[in-house]
Amino acid sequence: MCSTRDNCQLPVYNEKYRLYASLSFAVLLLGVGVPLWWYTTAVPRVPLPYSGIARLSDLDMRISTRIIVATFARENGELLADEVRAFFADAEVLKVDVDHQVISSNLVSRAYTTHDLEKVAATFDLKVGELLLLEAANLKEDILVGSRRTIYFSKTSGGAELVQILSQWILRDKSLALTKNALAEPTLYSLDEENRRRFPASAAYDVLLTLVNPDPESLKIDWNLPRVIDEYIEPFLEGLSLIANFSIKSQWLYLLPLDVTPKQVPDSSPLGRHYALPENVLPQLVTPLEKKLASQVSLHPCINLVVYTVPCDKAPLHIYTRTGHRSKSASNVEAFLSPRWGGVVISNPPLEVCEEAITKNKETVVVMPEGGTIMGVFLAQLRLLLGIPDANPIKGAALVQLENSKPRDWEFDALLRIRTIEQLTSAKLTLQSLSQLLKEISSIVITETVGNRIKSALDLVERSAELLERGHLVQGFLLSKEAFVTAEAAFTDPSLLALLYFPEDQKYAVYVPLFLPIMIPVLLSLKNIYRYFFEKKVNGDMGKEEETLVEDSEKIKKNEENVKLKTG
Amino acid sequence: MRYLIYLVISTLLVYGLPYSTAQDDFFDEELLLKPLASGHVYAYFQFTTLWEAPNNVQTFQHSHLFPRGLGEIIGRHKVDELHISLTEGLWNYEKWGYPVHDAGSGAEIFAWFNKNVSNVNNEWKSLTNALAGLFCASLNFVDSSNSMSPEFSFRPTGIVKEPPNSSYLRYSSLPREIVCTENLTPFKKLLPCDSKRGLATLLNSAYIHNTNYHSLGIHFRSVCRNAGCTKSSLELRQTVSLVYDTLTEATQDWSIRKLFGIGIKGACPLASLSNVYIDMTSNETVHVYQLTPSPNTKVTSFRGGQQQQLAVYDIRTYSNRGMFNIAAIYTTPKTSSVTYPSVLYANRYIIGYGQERGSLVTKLHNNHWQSLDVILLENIPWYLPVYLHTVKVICNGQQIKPLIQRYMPGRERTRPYYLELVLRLPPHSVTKFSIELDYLFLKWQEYPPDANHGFYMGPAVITALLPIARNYTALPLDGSTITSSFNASRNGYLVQLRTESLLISLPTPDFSMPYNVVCLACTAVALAFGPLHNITTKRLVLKNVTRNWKKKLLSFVKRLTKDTKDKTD
Amino acid sequence: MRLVTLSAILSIYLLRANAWEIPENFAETGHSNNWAVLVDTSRFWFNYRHVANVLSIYRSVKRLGIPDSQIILMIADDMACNPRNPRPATVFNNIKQHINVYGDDVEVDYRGYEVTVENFVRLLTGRLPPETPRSKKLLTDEGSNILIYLTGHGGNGFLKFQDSEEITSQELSDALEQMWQKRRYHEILFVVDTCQASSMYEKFYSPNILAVASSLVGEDSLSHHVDPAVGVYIIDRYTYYALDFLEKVEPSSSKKLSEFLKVCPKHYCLSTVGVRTDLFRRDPKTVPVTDFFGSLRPVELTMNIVNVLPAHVNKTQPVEPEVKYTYVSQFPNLSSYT
Repeated sequence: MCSTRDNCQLPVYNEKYRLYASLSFAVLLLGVGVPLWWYTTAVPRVPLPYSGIARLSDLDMRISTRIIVATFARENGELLADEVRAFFADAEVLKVDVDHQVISSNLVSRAYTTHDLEKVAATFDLKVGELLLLEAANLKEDILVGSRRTIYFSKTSGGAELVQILSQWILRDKSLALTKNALAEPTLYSLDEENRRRFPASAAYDVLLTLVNPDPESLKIDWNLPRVIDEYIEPFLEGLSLIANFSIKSQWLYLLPLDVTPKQVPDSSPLGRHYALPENVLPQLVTPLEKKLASQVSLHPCINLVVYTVPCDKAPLHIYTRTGHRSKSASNVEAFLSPRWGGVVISNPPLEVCEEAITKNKETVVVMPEGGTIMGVFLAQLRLLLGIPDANPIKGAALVQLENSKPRDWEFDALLRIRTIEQLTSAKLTLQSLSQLLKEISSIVITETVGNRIKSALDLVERSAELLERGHLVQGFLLSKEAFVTAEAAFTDPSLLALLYFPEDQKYAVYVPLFLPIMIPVLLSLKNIYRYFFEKKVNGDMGKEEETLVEDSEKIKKNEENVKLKTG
Repeated sequence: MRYLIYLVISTLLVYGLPYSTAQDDFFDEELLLKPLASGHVYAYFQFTTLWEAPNNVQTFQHSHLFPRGLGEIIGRHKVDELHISLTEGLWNYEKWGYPVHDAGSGAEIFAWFNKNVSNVNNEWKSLTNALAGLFCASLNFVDSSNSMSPEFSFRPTGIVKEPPNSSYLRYSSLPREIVCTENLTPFKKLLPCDSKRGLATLLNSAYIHNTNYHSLGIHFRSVCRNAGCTKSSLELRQTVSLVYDTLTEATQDWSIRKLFGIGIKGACPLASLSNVYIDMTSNETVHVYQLTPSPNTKVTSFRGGQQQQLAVYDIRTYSNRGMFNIAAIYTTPKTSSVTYPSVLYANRYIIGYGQERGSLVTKLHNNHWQSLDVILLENIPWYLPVYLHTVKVICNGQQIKPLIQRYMPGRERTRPYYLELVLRLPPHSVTKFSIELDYLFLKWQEYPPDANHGFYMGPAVITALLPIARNYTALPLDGSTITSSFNASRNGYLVQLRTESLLISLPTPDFSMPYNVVCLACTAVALAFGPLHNITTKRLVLKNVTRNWKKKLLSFVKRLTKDTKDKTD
Repeated sequence: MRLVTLSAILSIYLLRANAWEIPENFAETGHSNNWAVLVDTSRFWFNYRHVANVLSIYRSVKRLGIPDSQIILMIADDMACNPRNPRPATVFNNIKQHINVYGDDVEVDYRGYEVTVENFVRLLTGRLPPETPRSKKLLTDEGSNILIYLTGHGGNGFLKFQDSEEITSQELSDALEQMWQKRRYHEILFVVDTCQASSMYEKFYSPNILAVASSLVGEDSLSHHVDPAVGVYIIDRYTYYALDFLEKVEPSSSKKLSEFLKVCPKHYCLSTVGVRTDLFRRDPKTVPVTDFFGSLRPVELTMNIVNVLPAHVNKTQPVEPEVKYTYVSQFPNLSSYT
């Protein structure tokens, strides 16, 4: 540096470099550093279709259903069609289109059996979800509901009954609306019995059939589980294969006694007694069973079907209802179900076998359970658990008996509608709550996969709703299933948990010691830079920077002197 | 026994229908009690389920005696063979001989996957997760970063169609794993009689966890169904190994009631075999004791040049007499002597000081008069990088060259260091294997909550075929029940020794520091930046100014400092 | 605080507004199943009492009927089989040692290092890795009543996990909100036994939560008594008295939640038990304790039967091909290498 005290000869060009230096500092820090910091500390969030999701709340989910009324007389048909139309006009989830046709009476009058009637109905080309109201001549009841998609009614039957059947058994508009509303507004609507019983929607279920033999020493069971499964349950589930994938498993469990001791009741049977199981202790039977079923190993919701075989020294075991009466069930079979869990069948050994064992003092009895009855009960329970409710009796109406274990076509359609509404509502809610959460909690990371899933789920929901509107039930259902699965996957994506919870005050505690001492000199130097360029322009001395600088320094000196004069 | 089963099978085959109503599975329960020369008592429970069915997903859909939960997992993940052990304590090979199933302390798991598994690593991860749920163990911590596929050490113990390829094998150990009641509960649930009847009633957690060594094992494999071995059966062995110390008690007498807190309540009604064996070989030589009640039968077994005396109790003959107890009353004072040490044993330790580097030493003892071929498998976690060039195998001062050497360097956070050596141990020798290693610094988040406790390193596995069956209890490869080990002389007797698992303290930071470090670093950067910025962008200019008294004082001070500076110059 | 009052006013307003819309059966419990999430967040032997706390509650809920498959038990360290435990495989919550709370059939779902803030929040929100077994998942639905019990060391606004990380009350209330949004619960009883426990529930904003804390902000929760054989304190005061109360409850008993809220008056606990009821829409005086500590499993008798004939199955079991199987040599043939 200068050795003398005053008028040190300035290397003027240095000034230029110094300015460039402070300029580069400023550019580096503000131009590169700040954006880099911003980019690296920002939460990575893929843009989401928020507006699309917001639009979902106005999405009108309506399932178009075509009903054909076929009558002998035109007026009658028109009347009926109007009645049906009027009844379902303000249905919440359904859009019912009613057509009427005239058929010749001699076509139907020759049909005497249900089989014949179904043949006649088959001439109408009915798609999944559609219904045919067919006037028939030779009916025992006023109205007969077929196992396909046809309701037969006689001339005498009134429109009110038909509408009642449509509403309660087949279209189930109330139930559909409740399914939707209970999901959407759980604080206002609570689930009804049917909704609580039905397993929640899932893409796959496991059905686990368990045979419990509490005393293998005195009771041998001769039963082929794989066989009865193939004969009874497999065909039923095959009929529902569109709804979900079902896999069926079976197991045997031994030495699993009841947790409660049934009371002995004397009676007039050859054994002179039976055992009573009051209805209110039944829940206590399920918990110890569940401990051993190992159903939590499966990857999907598990529907448990348990056959509990009763050894002779505890047989026969009967369930008593709360009112103190024996429940009326099939001969040796008593059963109950637990909603969303499964069913239990108590299978008593045939009386003769036990009688013989007791009189002849046999140690072991071999019992072959009544496969048909037990499986019949399980099928009834499975229907309820999967969402096919029993039809409440309606006066003057009858149902065609089931031919095989497969559900009736219109039952299947109703289940499709319920599941579609359930899945669509669920997917919609999942998307809405996800978008709300992501908006509210700004520190959640949204990865590419989650973003894509949300987008595709939104698209699927919209497409599905559109298809349903146009009356394509099956395709609409399939898309709603996909939408449901995709939305679920988006919501439960493990990456969504990468919350960057870092309290604001702590953020400042880290940033202040770094940013304050660095930024202050840089920001102050901006002033110099600005003055350098700005004042140069004012002076118009574009070419001679050195001179300007000298002048500048002289000017500063003068200024300082002025200041000193003033203060002095 | 096996031929009896074959007989049953052949009758089944004759009367078999598409849906045969007879169940095609069998359950056996056995307990082997062996007083050890060291004064301990070795209790080994084995519950065997044999199922005459091929190993595929369809088979496991319908199960009878085979535990469905485990079966479903095995079928779903296409596992050909599965071995799990949950162990607390260390088996003392030198004094106790060889157990029926070797197990390293903590959790150990290895599995062979089916050939049609496309991504073995994924399947392995989901398998261990599913098993973690089933056994309440932390097996979900097993992943590719602590698993390996050793080429020689673990061969399929079950039957195979074609020569095995070790890329379908995964082996891992979790030495930190704790074994407690929550593991025993699901283990007992897998048994067809649960813990309600039969020998499983003896498994009471308070008595099991009070032992010197306890180990739960699950061993699943395929075995021959017929003499020609053209069809396969599934075999599941559930084992419990316990070592009780009788020397610390007042008397050396032991009984079922004393060991397990309860007598035997009778056989499991589903079991086709329900036996208790007491190895009396050491009676009259090391100890002298009397058994009450006296056994149904006594068996003398010759195996690998050794004679073995066994007392056999068939529980079913006692089942109608209420609680049943077997007691051994000693007539001699307490003794503990090891007259015949085991043929092969090993130990392992870490040498070196500081938290930077160390050296791993494994010592192999050969007490046999012949040389022995052994396979040494070292499983070294990725945070302990080893140097292959420092491997030294020294015996009697001479370097031994390994017959075969396999090495796969580890990769940080993805793969452990795998080293497998085949060595020929000279007769009556101690061979020392050593390798140098570093201790790695982990990332802040990778340290466990109790980082200062240290990190565990899984045991080394030493595999050998022993020429004699001294102190040997394991079952032959083609046997399923303990009875199959009687008079079962073979060409060699396989042992798979596990060494100690080691506790290593890695360099551990002070976890309260990160915030201080951030602040300090920021301050340092700021301090450095300020002058740098000033020097490059500002210039000191001296000015002539008239001053008031304050400034005069200031400049005086300045001048003073400058003068001192000049002087120093 | 203002937020709390605001939400309280809001919820009251909502209740009024909707009073006439509530269906008749709403007066019933409205839930269809019960779950329990019981968490001990403390590691190390000297925190024995926290493990005893959580196991005491575990024992109670199990006794009152919640099956193990619906209890998620998280225990951060092993006390029962700890080498320092003089009686292995047992945990006692009383010096008289009359109840081994570890029991004979305990099932611990998350243990040791698995008990982390991350896993806890994942469990609540359902964002677990896909390979997680179902026994480790909280598979609740819109009809589930959940009991959440937390114990450990805490401070104002946080609860420490494993002495190395902490969950803040904000994180917890966000997690609960996500559960509500996803219809993962019907009602929650949130019980926390830790120092300054009430700070954990102050930030809750989701409906249908009743929160109980062993102490207010600024107070410590204290331990009850020491067992010289174990060498450490073996239970905390709040849980001790809560258990005292729960032991008298039977699955059929009609004890109300309001009684549970009063189990530990200040002269027992030495800290003030905090209660937050503004988010809860029912009156604790009318809610049975078993709505949360017990298990409701509705049962319906099946009277119907589907009478069908067996389907004809022409499925024959596949014939197993006969293949020559062999056992493999367990030791390599060294002659090929030497």
